Amino acid sequence: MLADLKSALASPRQSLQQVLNFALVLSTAFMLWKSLSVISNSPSPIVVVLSGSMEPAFQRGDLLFLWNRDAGTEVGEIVVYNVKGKDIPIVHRVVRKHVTVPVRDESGSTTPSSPKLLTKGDNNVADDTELYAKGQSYLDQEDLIGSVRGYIPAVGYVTIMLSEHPWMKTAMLGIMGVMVILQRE
Amino acid sequence: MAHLVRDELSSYSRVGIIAFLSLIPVPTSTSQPSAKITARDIQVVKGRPHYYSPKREEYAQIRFDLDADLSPLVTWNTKQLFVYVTASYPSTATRAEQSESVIWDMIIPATATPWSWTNLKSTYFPDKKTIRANKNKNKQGASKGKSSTTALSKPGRINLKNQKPKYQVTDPTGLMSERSNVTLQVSWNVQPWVGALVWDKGYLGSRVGSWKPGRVGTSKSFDLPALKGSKPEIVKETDGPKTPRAGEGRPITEI
Repeated sequence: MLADLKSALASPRQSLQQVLNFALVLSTAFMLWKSLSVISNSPSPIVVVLSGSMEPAFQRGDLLFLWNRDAGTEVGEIVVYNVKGKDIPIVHRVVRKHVTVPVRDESGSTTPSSPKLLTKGDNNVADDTELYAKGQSYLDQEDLIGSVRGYIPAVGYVTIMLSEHPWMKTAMLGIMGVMVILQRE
Repeated sequence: MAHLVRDELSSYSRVGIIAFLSLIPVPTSTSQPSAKITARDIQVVKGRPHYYSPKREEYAQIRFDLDADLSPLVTWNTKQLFVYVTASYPSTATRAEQSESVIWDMIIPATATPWSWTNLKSTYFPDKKTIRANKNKNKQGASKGKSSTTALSKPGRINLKNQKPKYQVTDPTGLMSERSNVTLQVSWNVQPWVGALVWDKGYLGSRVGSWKPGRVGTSKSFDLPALKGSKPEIVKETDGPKTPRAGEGRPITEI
């Protein structure tokens, strides 16, 4: 390791370039993620399926691509939403859409109210009324993170394993570190 | 010349091309899917959302006939076909916007291929139920060479008569009786093994073109009946209760 340090100090420009390359890779990945977020108008354009409530269509670990630029949501679309106050994304299908009477305020102008949506998982018997926040019976368009339009099976299982077994993160970093050292030699 | 081009394409780009091809929604075969749906028995009953709920709402139970042939949609990339029937009706604001509810749905999974995971598992790791079933079959001497598969030979054909709906329709206002202009529509959603999900209303996202109304079966408009058990003698007065003029013996009828 000391030999490596010596070679790094001998050519500081080269090692700085390596650091810069690494930073460029990281920032490019971040930029790609954020631009995907902007294109799809969704805060989280790629999600991993966490539960089995949409089987047999989606299994745990599948990767979903979301789109959030459509003005309205149709019945039968598969949407991802966060329950108010909680940070767990839920992937279910819209089973009901109710158009409500627009509210007329004192000035006489009507504010168009977004339709109320009810969701249900394909593998669940009951709809999601019990999952929503207390007092909330329906979802609004703004509760949705996006609508599922694309699907890749099983690719996301790595993230589930990393979040459920945090020791794997350290193991992966350790393996990567060992590989870097072995490559140098 | 051709082999020069092949050398140019690295293995990464080849894999990329194949991956890109799988994302393109596969066009259906030459025949189009077809469906026909008619409403049959309709009832509007009063009920509660769940056992402990204090509010009472009106629910519409709409039975229907459905004849559909969705087999053109089942391709190599079809993992499952989700078929659903919705009832849509104009909301109380009497505008063009419709409220829509799913009354019935069905999942048609892709037929398991001979080397699929489920088939391999049942051949090499059969559970006790299948072992017993197979033993009984052999005892009765019912083995006829190739075993009959339980999977449909041509999945996607649906034939239902006076089907009871899975879900009942209700409105946030709680009123469903005597709504007019209700239509049933059957829709489908193809879930691929990999790639873009397709609905009967369009491909991919951003409503490429426009979110056209379902090309597959729509029923004729029908009206929901009065609440089950409501008295038939109630006369409907369209212009409100009138005070009888002096000398008239006509009573005020209640709406």
